Amino acid sequence: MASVNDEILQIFFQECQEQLPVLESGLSSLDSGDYDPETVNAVFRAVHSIKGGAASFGLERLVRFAHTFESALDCLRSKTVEPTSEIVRTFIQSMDVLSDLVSEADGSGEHVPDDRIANHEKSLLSVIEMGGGSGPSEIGASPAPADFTPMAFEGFDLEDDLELTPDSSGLVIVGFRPLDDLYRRADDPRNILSALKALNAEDEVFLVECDKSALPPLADLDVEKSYLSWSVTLPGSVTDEAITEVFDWTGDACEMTISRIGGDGPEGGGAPPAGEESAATEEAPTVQNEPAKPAPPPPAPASVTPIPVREAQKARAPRRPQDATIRVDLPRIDGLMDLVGEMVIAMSSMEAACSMPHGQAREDEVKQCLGGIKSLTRDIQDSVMGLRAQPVKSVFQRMQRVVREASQIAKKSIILELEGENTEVDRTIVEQLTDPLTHMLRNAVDHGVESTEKRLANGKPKEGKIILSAGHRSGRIVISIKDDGGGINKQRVLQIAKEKGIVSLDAALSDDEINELIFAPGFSTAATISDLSGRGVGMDVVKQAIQALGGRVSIKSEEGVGTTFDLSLPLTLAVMDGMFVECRGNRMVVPLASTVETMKIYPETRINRLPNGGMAVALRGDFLPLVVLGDELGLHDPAGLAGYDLLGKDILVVENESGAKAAIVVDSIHQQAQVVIKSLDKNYKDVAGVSAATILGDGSVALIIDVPSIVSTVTRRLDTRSNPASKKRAA
Amino acid sequence: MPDSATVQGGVSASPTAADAPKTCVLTVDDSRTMQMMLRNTLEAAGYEVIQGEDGVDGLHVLEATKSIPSAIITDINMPRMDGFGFIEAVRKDDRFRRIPMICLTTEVDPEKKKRAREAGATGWIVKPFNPQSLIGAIRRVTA
Amino acid sequence: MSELPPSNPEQSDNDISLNGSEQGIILAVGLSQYCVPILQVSTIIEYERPTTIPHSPRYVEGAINLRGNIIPVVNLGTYLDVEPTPDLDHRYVVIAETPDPNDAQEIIVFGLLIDKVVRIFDMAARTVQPISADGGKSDLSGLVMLGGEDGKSAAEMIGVLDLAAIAAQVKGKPAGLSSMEF
Repeated sequence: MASVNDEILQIFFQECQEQLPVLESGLSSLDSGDYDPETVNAVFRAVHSIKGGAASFGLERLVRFAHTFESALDCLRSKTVEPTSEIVRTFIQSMDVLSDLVSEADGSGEHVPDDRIANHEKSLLSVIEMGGGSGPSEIGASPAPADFTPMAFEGFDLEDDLELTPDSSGLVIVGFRPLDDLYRRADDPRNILSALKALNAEDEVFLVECDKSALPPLADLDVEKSYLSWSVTLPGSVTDEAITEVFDWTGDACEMTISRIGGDGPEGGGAPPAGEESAATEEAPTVQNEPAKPAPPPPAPASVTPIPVREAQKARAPRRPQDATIRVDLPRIDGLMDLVGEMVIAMSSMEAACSMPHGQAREDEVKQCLGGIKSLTRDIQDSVMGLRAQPVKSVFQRMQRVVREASQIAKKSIILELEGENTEVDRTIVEQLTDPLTHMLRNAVDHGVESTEKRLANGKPKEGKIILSAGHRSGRIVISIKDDGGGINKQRVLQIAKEKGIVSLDAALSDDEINELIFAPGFSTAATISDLSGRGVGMDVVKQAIQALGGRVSIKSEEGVGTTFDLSLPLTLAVMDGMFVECRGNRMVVPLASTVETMKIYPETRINRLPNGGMAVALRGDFLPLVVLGDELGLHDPAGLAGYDLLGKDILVVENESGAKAAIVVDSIHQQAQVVIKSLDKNYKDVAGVSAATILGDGSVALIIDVPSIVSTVTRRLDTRSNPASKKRAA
Repeated sequence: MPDSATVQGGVSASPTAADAPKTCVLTVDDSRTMQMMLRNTLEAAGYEVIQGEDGVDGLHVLEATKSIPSAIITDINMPRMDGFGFIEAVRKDDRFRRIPMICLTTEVDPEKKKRAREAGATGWIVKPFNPQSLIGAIRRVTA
Repeated sequence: MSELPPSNPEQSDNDISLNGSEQGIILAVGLSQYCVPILQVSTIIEYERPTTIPHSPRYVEGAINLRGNIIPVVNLGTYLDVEPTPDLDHRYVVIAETPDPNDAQEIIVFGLLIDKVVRIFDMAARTVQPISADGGKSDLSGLVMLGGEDGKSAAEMIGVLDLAAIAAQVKGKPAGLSSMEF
């Protein structure tokens, strides 16, 4: 049974991960002045639903906070408070706490300090108080954590101790008369009787009398009306409380009296007065929700450096397997079903065609059928890929918090605008985008947007703006992070790069190349290590993370106007269009997306050998760096190393994301095809010049060429004279 | 006690009786966590469970099902159509208005109880529920 | 690429325990024999020329497709500097599985090119002796004493291959120049 519970717990955490973005986007729209009641409701529901689930698992810290949060949001919902920007701020900050408490609970995050929770609880309580008289009682009216009984699938030991006290003598008589309304609610006196009977667990006394005196003649009887009343005699040991509880559901739809005969009355002292249904739930918790008394456990050492403990916890925390299930909209499955249906039909036409007598007619028919199947296969493939697609929204919305916190630390006023959040990407990519985006946005806050004083001095609006957008561009997803800051200070970047020995002192670099230096390992332009970006990770890590996803990063920057980072990502990690090439006895794949054109090397093709050993080929008046793929990959020519004859070989003109082109020489170019991308580094390591592998029709492996890395290596080799690689080649 | 039973007519399949067809319960909740818990608890007690993810969906499910449920459990806070709306809608439909409906709420304040009653709820259970109280509530209305 | 049962009919070793958990496979490369615990072997396949991986050490034969996964094949002879039997018609690849040295949660799968599988034996019945710290080669995790019990054959020592150590070599640092270099 425990595993069932675990499974549900996982679903709960999954749901939290769905609810938090809803909360985020709702609060963001409130923040931007959209007071749509439906938004408020959605926000409320998100917190409510987290609380409800958390309570079922006894996640008390989470429940407690969610409860206070919910109560405060309820004031908004009931319009007893206005969503002023201050209150919305409070909510947004509380959301961050809530989100951290969820991470704490699922083991992915650190323990949230009690004082932090208490602080935000206090702010929430002040919102509740602002909401007027309903404040404290409202929050008290519901069970506080202490009252929650964590749900367990086994172990039914609850509730059994309040009812029967065997030595209590006497009888209790419960009289009740249902009103019409009881039937309207599909209730039935029978239900009340059976509930009362259940109180008499020992089967001692259970007498039922029915008063039929009010029954009209049959002709006048209205089946919707109530005419009967009952009197039930129970043992005196049954408490008033238990009886009242039975009538809790019926409320004023049923008149009820309790009277006792003989005996000392029920034990357990002062039973609450009958009929006051809410009494039981209204009392106790009021005190417990005082923020001044945060829940004591677990006792965190207050001033003793708690960091190592936390880190140890974090290290021990089991890596929660990223949910192996996906939720798919029904229409997508339906669409796929339709396609499969068509495929079945296409197959039977194919069979029919094949059974035709030999001849031209049959050949034409088969060809036509084959064409149909081909396009259907492609559609099915796209459709299946679509199942893996997920909007980037969830990640994007998380970035609001990142920018919020970062700008707070940097003491800058910055708004983040999101565009194209519904753009869909393969879910693996979505999941792995969080870290790089977080870093880039922190970087944009820290280094991109100028300080408020500087902005004002430059005649810019006080508030900085970062736009995070996503969109499709020629078969890829491009995610842009655009700030309206000061742009990259190229002189400074170049100077630092020279100081740090990243480029040689006499290097003459183009603007784009200077921008690229930001991604060099160990490069950081910040004069001081700030709280934000200077955490030992640089943009090089970001670049690596994006590259690991098959993506590229490029920069555009204009001094005084701002900087834009473009992340270009494949739509899916699984399949791509490729061009098969032959390279020294190896079949390889060049991604079609990065191939611009192909050409053959003829005697008249102009190939220049440069003094540093590099080569360039003339193409319509331009010179492109030329590289022999086999040499680049260190593959030996099966025909021997003596002079690789370029004549007659094929050239692929390829380009990287920022548009830099290069010519790659291969032995021959074959057909184009879609290939399934398989990771090479799962069981091996990264290989320079190779991005992944694929499996050919005969079951053998072909490597996929990492065009952008080859282009940049080649370009750099041509440009940077001090590069040791070029020296070696020249020698 | 038999008098009352004839007034309302009765559904009386005991869920645990091996030979009887299973008693069907509809649960409506937008939280998958809750839905899983309800399903597990009810199925373990021998009920057949059908589910809807909000009020609108609940009505669809009710409309589509062959076996009219003997009881409905519904959450209150849901998108599209909340629990109150759902209860009212069910009560308006002659085919379904006799089905006992139990609300699931996280806390019960008198105001909420009143609204639930007004909408036509038969009763309520406070979340987090324990299996015993849930089954107890279902037994009470389906006995 | 046909899969072979890991046992070999020419052997009969009657001390194979039923649970199989403590069995070892004896492999041969040239004149040398080694053994690996059977639990770390998922299958044994016939060798076919793999796809060359650029910028790889000499002992990496290349990459093959094993049920849709790309796995590297290590030439055990080259790796241990042992001369393989020349001109064999058939050679075999032992598919080994071992935890990723960089991330214990992940399993690395790689192939070991060998000449042939000799037989399976019960490791539990013998003592695996650790290799002395000074003289031992790090590719072995221990030594095991074989034969001699039946009186017919002489006892011999066989090295237990340290698959985790080989995996660490294979997976190791990125091959060739990092594309990130500036």
